[in-house]
Amino acid sequence: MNIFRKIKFLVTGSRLRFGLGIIKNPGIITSIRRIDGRYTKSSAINIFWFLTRALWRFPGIFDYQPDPSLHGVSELTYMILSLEERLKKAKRDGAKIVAKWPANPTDLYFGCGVIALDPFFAGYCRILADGTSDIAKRGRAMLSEDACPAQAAAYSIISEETFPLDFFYPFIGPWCYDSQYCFEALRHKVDGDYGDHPVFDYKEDEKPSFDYMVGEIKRFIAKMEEFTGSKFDLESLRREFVIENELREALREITGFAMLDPPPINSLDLVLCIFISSDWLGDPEAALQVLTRIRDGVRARAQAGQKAQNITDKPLRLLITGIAWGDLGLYNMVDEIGGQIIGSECVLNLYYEDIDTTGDPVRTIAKRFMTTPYALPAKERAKWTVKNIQRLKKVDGVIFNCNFGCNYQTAEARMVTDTIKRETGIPCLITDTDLPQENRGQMRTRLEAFLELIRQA
Amino acid sequence: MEFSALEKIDDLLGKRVDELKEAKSSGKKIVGYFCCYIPEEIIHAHGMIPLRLSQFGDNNAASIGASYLTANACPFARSCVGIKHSGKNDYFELTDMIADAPACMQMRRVLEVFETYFNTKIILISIPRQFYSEKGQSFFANSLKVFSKKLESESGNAFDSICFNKAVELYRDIRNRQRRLYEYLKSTEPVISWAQVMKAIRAGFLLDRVKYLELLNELVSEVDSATPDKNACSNIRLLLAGGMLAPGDDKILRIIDEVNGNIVMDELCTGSRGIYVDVKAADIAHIARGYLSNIPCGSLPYPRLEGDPRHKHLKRIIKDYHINGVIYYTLRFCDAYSFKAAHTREIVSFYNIKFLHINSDHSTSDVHQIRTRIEAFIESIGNGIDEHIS
Ligand code: SF4
Ligand code: SF4
Repeated sequence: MNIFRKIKFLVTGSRLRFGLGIIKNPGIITSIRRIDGRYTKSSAINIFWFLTRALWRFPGIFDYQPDPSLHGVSELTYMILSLEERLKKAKRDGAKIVAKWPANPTDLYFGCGVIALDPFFAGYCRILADGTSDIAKRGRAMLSEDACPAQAAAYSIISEETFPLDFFYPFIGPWCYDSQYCFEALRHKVDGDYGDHPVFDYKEDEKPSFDYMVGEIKRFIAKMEEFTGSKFDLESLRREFVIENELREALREITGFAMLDPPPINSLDLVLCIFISSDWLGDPEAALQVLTRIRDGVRARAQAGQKAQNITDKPLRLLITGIAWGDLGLYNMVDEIGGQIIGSECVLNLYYEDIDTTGDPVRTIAKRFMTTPYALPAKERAKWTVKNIQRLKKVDGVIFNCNFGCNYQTAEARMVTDTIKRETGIPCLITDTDLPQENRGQMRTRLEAFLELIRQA
Repeated sequence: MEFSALEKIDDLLGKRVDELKEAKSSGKKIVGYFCCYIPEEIIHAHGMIPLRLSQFGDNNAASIGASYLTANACPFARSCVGIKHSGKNDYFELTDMIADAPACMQMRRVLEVFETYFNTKIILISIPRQFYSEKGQSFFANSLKVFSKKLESESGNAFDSICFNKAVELYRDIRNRQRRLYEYLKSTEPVISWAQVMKAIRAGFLLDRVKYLELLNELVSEVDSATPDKNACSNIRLLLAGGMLAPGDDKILRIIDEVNGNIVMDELCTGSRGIYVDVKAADIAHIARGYLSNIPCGSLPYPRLEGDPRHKHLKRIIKDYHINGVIYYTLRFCDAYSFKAAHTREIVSFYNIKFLHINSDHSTSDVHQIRTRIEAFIESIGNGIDEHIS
């Protein structure tokens, strides 16, 4: 990192808010306790020092402005930035780390005693922390010039062993088509297997698909038993449901508060919270402590009618569908120009409802797989999104984002937005993104024009 | 060398649209499909006409397709949508329904677009990714049973085991003859060229399958009695591998031809891949096993490097066909194949064979650059042979 850039950031006031906010508000940092078998144990002083050093180690974070005066945001930032180190430590302590695809239920992995890692999110974290997309560029050179940035970055962090990984075991189905090939391209580096989520297209004959899915989950469990050397126990899976339901509930509450006027949480902080649902940053219990703090902080602000930092008065509320923007700077930009992101359809897939804790956990997980809105045909996915827009009531505009190289989301962009427009009359915009920090100027122009269009409408 | 059977194939292809119109007016149903996991046997057994709608190469169609799928979809997928949108392709327009077992999820979206925007009747067959396991195969057999039931109600023809046996027999014979054609290409002094074999294979996507078998028989006996043209032999023996090279997409073939490249074998889903399907008995379980045990489509990932069936097949081809250069051709945004390039290169290089990956579409903007790369590639193979001889 070039020293001049750091100095520039250190002397330009507005950019200091994130880094120095931690120092200015040390009282907001609390420790994260270790709870049996989990991996994050950090005292307030650890977190404080980590984040202070982070100013130098992760130059990319200066590009973003979370709001550290909101309780819990510093700890969340700590968890995101320390993921790599925490996983390495966990691995040294004998934990097994298994890669999954984002929409695969985390409960199943943690419930089997392994740490779930979503390498696509981790790859993005690395890009954001580095402040350059070099890892994605190196990944593209190996995979394909047409690889989406998340695939390319994931490829690099695994092949270059930046992040530790013992095994890949995603469940592949009718969603992100590219990730299965990304894992396949990593076979020389790491062993793995695939769970099969059958394409579920004949409704009149669902049972064989469901039974097959149950069989696939059992095969996964057997592999994890072999891997960890400990016997799987249904109760631990059920306990995991309980913890993760709490996490999901916290996210739903935070998203609900974001709808208030004035909004007590800004776009960036909201998406940072919801993004982590793809693997809970390796530690569901620690994530629960952090999200609970944020939820309480947001609630306190809501009760006091306090508006979040960086956000304008009466912002236009935007829902992101398709793949959420990987460039966190865009969320700050939306706030700046009079908008507000109130959720992202792709991660909503992960926390929109709780998992039933009463039935047979294996069948429950199978059901969860097969009813994930992402896994449904585009028409049904669109209907589900419409239902959510209607439930949220106050959505002013919908953005469908396509990542360059993504064959999945992009192919549904028109089918989904056409349905949303037809059913709700809400204006929709399709955006295209690629490597973070590229084309921000062009994006700003498009977003400003879109907000203008909504205002006129 | 010219073969009269190939001329007859051309002739029949010219008349095929009229023939289909006639069949349709007499009440026959036409079932279109794209991917090679559709067992035509089952369609044929229900008295319906299968048509493989793999046509491609029209830039205009691909750009129209992009307005439905965005430019991030593979150009073949976009072309399919664009062709349907134009409403001008007779084969597309004549189909009563499209059935597909899309191993490639991009094609699944294509079908959704057809259903949503063009009101096409779609029958989707669930294909397992565990293609190599017993459970996966019995899951697929179940999917095929459901498929057969649907065709029963669409065609009005109840399942008839005699028709079914005949259909299995017919396709077994077709694939036998096709394999025979590819066998000829192993010779370093072949009587038939790869381009001619490819023409015969592609005709099988559209022609009436009974007549098609007759023509294949004719072609095989013509080739059997022909003598090789030694002047047409070349030391350079290229394998064209990759995903999709559908009829109409001849950009890469033209370039290879222009620089005197000599393709002797392919490993493409629109070429040799389908000929290795081996249905051992006339029942649905054997059909499922036969199709899933074939050399897998790149869209179905294999979890382990060791024992990867695609790699095994590739090694076998390299040896049997005396290959000394592999051109790995992928379509842009086809991650199923392009992400495999690095491992494929390693396999090929292990045998000291030259490898060239070209990732392109059918636009003309990169023709010059591709030509230069292929030229240099062929030259380097030539130099290698010379060095070896000296
Ligand atoms: S952007 Fe698309 S291709 Fe990339 S990881 Fe997400 S779903 Fe997969
Ligand atoms: S396998 Fe590749 S070339 Fe074939 S349809 Fe899918 S993306 Fe396109």
